[in-house]
Amino acid sequence: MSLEVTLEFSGGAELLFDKIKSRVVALPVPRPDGAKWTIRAFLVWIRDNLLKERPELFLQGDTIRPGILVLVNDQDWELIGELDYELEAKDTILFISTLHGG
Amino acid sequence: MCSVDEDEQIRAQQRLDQAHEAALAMADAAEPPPSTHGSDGQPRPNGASVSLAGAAAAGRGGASPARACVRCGQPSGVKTASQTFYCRSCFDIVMSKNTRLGVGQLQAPKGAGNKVLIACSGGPSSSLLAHTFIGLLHIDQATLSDDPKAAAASIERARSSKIFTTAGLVHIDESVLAHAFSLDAGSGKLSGDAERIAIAHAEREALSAAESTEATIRANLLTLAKRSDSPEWPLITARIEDVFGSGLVSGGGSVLLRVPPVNEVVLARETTEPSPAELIPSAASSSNRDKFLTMLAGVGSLSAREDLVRVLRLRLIVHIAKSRGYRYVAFGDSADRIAQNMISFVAQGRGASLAYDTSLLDARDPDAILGRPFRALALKDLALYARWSDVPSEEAPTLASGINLFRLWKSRYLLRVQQNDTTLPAIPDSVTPVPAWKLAFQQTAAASQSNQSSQQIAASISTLTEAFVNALQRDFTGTVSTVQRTSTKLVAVPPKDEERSCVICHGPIVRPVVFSSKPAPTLLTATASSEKPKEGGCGSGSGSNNSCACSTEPAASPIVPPSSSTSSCCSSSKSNANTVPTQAVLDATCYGCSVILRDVTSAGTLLPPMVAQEFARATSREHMRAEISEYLLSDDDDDGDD
Repeated sequence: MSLEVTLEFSGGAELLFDKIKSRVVALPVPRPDGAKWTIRAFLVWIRDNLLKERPELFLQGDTIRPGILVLVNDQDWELIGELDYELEAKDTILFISTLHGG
Repeated sequence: MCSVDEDEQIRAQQRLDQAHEAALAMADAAEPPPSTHGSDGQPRPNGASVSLAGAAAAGRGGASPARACVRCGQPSGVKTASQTFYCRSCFDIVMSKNTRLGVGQLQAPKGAGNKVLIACSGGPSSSLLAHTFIGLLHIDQATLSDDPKAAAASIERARSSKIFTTAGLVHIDESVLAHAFSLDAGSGKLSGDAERIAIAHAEREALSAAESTEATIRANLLTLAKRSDSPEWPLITARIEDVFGSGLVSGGGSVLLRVPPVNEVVLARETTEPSPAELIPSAASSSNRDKFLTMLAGVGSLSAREDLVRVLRLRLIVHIAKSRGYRYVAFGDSADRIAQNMISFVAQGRGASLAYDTSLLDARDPDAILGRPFRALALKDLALYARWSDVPSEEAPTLASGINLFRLWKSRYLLRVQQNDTTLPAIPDSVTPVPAWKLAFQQTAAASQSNQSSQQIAASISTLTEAFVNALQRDFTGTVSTVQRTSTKLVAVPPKDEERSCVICHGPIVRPVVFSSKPAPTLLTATASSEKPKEGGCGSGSGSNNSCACSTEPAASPIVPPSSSTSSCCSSSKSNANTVPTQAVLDATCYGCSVILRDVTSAGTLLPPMVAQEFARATSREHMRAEISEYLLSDDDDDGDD
């Protein structure tokens, strides 16, 4: 079982992820700890599986670095609970960097 | 003189506020609330099924309650930087009005043939600015008469009612900076072959990423320009190293910079996309590249390097605008950038020109009026609106972000090399001699006392300020708007002597300064453009470590530190060079630029010809003034005569 979501980057954030702007990722379900896939857990998964090095360029603590916008299905994540939003199959999570130089 | 004083700025802000409120009220009354949402066909998160007025929670798992759009009451899709909730449709309407009102603030006499050049970095803000101008200058062809004369008259009437009649885009290609990413990435101490191979891979990746990003930016801007219905929306692209262009000519008190014609694309509606051959860089750019990188290498700190690039970019844009007859230059600076600049410019010693640098209109130079129409709009709102308005954008790495990217790529490649990854492409052995600028970077890095570890995040004053403002904005949502609005209250003090402006940035000179902490360069050798290097002098060691980049560009200014007299060929070979003490150079620059010069650590560092020329002009003016001073009647003499 896996949860498939689309992960997109723009504004220069894609340079951190092998210059791939859009990819479909399969998240293992259920999670090892039995909890649901929230964006908080998804960020940890991104850090461990896609970024690996220098997470501070993308993350700050357990959340996203200030200056990087997050849209879930083209909707501002601030409206849907930010880190606590629970991912669903076929969700599209877009990270837009507004940082100078990406 | 500054034509925009505080009162005018306040009045402009008040007009904007009133117009904004009136427009919103009108839109509320005239337009029915949008009935559909998510017309893009995207699946909605849980918020889409929420009933009106946010009765239920939007997300599961303790998410914040759904908020209704403040205009139509539908479920909201965006929370703006000012914490206002809008649905997507209303957000588009409000942002369309805000961006147009922002551009409308640029004051110019209507129908006076005003040409505006839009400076596009390729990012969302400046791309959206171009998009807005295209919308404002749009003339609906469908409504025009079939009679060509009547149609032409209609177009003329329509244009005369607009503030700007023609617009163009200018983009400065900074892909040359990718060469500098690796050289400041803590690569001075190599642990072995693995690291050397990893660096070679990362260098290649940085260069290819820079090239592909620039190609995307250019394609995006072409796409934008083609949306215009005007027959000519030129997209002018120049490389940042063109500041060392050999086509620099002086005459009539102005300095014109050559922009390679092969880099210019004039768009007509009927024409197809230019062939790749038209976009091939000019042959001269490689030597300009070497000079530019040598100059960059000679500056010791990342902050000073970034500041120098920013200043030169601005001057290049202004030169292009002037040489092409554009009287106005519009920049896409958002409120966030203004707030960041407010702090970083002060930290970099540019407080004296802060009122100009953050103003809506900087009219110090009446031939090149700089405008920042988006300075009251938040970057988040602009970025989202650009995305949802189908405005393509792409961000090119800056020096600091590029260095961090390079370190990331280097780490990844190092891991692959150590794991004997066979999928890695082979790196050809380097047989070409190491370029002089690369050696200069290594020397500067070795001489730098604060040699950053490659494990650290590369940070300049501007990136630190950006992180600071962004972090504050997240916790205190009024941060950006408060700082930005503070900038509107700054009053520009006109310089006492109008002729005194910085030879590097043209900013006001309002100091004396005493340097004590760092050794300053003691000599600046300004050579006239007609002088030729002597035989056996500069450049005699071509291809070797002794090569001097100033050999091919006599109009450039080498800055020579005191200890370099034995290593540099510049000071000895040009015996007729006009050598002046440091204080004269520092007196001709503003404090912010003198801070850059203070960080010049390397011998043979060149500044662009335009700087040398302006310095020579400023010096001769001062000299002439000194010569005739005894014949001038001063106020004291007048009093004495009376």
